Amino acid sequence: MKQDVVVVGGGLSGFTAALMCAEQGAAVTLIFAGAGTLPLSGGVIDVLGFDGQKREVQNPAAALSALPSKHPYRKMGVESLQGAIDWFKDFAARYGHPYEGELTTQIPVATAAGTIKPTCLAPRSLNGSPLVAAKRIVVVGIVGLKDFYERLVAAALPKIFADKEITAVTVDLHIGGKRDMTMLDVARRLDEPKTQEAFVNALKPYVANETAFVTGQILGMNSVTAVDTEERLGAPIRETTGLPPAVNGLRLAKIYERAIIDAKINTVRGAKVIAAKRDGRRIVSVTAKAAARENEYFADAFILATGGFYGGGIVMERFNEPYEPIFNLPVDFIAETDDDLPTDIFAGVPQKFALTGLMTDEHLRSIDGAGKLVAENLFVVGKNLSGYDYCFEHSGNGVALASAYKASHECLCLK
Amino acid sequence: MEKTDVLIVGGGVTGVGILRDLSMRGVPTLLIEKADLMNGASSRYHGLLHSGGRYAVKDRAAARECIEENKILRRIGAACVEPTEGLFVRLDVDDDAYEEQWIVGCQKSGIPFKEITPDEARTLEPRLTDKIVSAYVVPDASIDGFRCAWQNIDSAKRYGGRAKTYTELVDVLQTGGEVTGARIKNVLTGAEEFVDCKIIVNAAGAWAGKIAAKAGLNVGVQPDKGSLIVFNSRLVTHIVNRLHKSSDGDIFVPCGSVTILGTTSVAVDDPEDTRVTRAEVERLLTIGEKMLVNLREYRILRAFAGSRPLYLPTGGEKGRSASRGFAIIDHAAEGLAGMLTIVGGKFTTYRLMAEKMSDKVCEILGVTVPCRTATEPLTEDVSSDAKHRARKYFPAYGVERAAERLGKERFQKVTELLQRDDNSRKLLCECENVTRAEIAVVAAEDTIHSLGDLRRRTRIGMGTCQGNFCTLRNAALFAEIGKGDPLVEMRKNIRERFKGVHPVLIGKTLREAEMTRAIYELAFNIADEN
Repeated sequence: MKQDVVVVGGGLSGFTAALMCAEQGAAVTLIFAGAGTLPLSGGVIDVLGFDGQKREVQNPAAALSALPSKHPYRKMGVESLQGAIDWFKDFAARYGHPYEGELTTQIPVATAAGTIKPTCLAPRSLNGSPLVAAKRIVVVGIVGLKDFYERLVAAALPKIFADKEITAVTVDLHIGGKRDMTMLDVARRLDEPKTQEAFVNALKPYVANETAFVTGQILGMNSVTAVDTEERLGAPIRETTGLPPAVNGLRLAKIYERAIIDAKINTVRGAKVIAAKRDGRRIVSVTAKAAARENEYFADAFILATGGFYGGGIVMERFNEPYEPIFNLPVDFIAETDDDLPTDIFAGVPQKFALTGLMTDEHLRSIDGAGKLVAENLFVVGKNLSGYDYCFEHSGNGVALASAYKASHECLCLK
Repeated sequence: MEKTDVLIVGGGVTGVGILRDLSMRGVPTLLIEKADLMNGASSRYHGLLHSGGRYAVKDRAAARECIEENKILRRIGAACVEPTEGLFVRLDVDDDAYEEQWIVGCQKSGIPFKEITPDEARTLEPRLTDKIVSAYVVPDASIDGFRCAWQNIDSAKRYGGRAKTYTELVDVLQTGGEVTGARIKNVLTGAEEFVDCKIIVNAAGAWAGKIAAKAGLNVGVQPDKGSLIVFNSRLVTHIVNRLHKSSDGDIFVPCGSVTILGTTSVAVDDPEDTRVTRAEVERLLTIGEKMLVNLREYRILRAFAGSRPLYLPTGGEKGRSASRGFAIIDHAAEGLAGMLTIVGGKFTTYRLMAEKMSDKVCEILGVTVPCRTATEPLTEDVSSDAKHRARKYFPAYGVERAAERLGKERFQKVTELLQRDDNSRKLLCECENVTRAEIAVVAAEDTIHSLGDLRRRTRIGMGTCQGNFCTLRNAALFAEIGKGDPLVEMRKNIRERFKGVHPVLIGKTLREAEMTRAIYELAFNIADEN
């Protein structure tokens, strides 16, 4: 059965593109093999945290025009980004996991290393603004929880908040027996009213005027738990970004899962797209390999959302020979020689290897080095795109949303 | 002012071996090392305890020394040695005449070997190529260099020996053609002090020429860089050597949870030059994949390099052809009595080298106590009773590994901590099965100054995650016991780990590097030092 659109890839950009196409009335098939980076990233929407010199960006919308011309934001324009942000906030709110923030400002997010990072959109539980405003900060750890270290955070935060009183407390919720607990374990337990009550009661003695609490991503898998906990406590309690698994990334993944079912998107899980057929400059179908068999999927338009090196959308088995494994699209990258290796992981400038990806025209269609269109009905989104280092500039989820927005509109224009 | 009889310069395996030997003979001895122990070739190599097969054709004397010392180290250093056994395999393209010479060489050097069929070899090592035409089993083994060094130090301490890491030699003090002492400097604090001593032993390996120069002497040492790559799992369970004239990239060593492939051989000016180039990595892979099929599909963890201290007597051979034997130089002949240098050699024969040097020192000092290092074990084994009791608290599979890493006394301490404090039972390193208790006990020791020091002692961060998860955990523990600023330590550790990653940024390694950056630059935002 021929679809209007086939989306390949199950990360933030693939899910978003599939949903946006479906909302515009298209018949969509979404095929993916992995989980994307949501469990890794914390599910905050970074649009542009830092510029090319690693200076913090105050107003992402205003900073776009200063980006290099190869940057995906320059191709998509601020309208796509604004459209994507509006769509996302509406979508997240509709599914009960609302996000705060605007494209013209940054939200401070506390991290589990005791630093603050800028982001554009965050759910209330990760919005660190009350920490900035408070006079006293209480860092909350849980007995048995691994990977959130309240004393480390309390030791590091004074570097940013020299004038605040910062203390660490460790709460024993008597959960988990004596085994190691991840944030996910604790979050699931805090969804239970009894455990939540014990948690709130343990923190009550520390509530005072102008006090805010900060902890790991543990405030429930259900989005309401965090808000409810804060209300019961009577003081702000906010989460931090840190080591995977990122609970808020999983919360976000969960609402996307619900949404693609609601949108009646034909979803093919656990299937890896391995090949494509074309007719001249048109892609006709893709072939996906699942455990039992290979299937061919036909559509008028295709959206490629398989990620960069991390997601496997771009592969480099030999030095300086990156390739795109499904359509064999031309890859844009900067060759590195032995005299020019990236010896410092925190180099103060974007890493060249991280800029690797696919070149596109202003419609997000793949082009080659000479600017020639490779396929007229294939659109590229997310970390498949070249020209940006999302770890350096903190822009991954912003590019994912904006490119999904742009591609979904462009591919439906083909009809 | 420090006072000792002997000052050893260099905390590689030779230096610590001499420290232990002299201490056991009752000679007051102090060792200084400018970095952490085993900073040079002692750790930057395969981790191979040679059977001698590698040298059977070229250098039978060295081969004989290897097999003798191999037997001794298995006895005295059981917790450091993994008796994997080794295979020598000849491929169809390799010279068959070399195989015949090798057999004769093994026989004459006393190296036991057993011929097996190519099919049997592939049963033992299923990843081996089908291009094998002959195969032999020899008593090669793998050895943990860091552990071996610290067990030598611990043993020496029991006999009154002392060691100072992060301490360098500034100057050799001499009067009337005799060594009277040295000026040394703590490189962490910058504090200098004098050492009153009768003898200085220069055991600085590839740095031996530089140390000799501080006394105005000349020692011909050619630093010879060897690069190696580490795969993230045990691709082989035996040491796998190629049976041909020794060359680059022809040995695989399974070591702990990883496999090491090496080496290259490049003469360098400066032993501090430990850069690995992509050209070297490509060369190692190209040669390595002739022995193990589909080699490029496996994830590379990192690459590293170290400099062999090849001794160059005037007019001698260079590079791989240079002798792997060792030399002891008494500089009295050049007008400075009390100054001795040891150069050349290889890890496998370190104990023998230490014995010969210690004999020389004792001869000068008039000490007649004989060497006992060949018979007395480095450390007392953890009893099976103690391990049995500890199983209640350790994570699954963790007990045996921890017992080997820790030795009797520390194992006892760690078990007690696990017993009394639930929090210390957290597994901080899932790759190498290391508990918080073990990290806490070792981190508290005064020789631990950085997460790097901690890694070399506990293997935390050496496994598959390469520090992605444990860097935060260790930095937190460091902060809790008041050792260092957690952000500084994290940044330093992630940077240090990346040094080994950038030469191998291909395939799955690239993916892992993205994850490291996503965690530390994106989620933790620690890239910016301001």
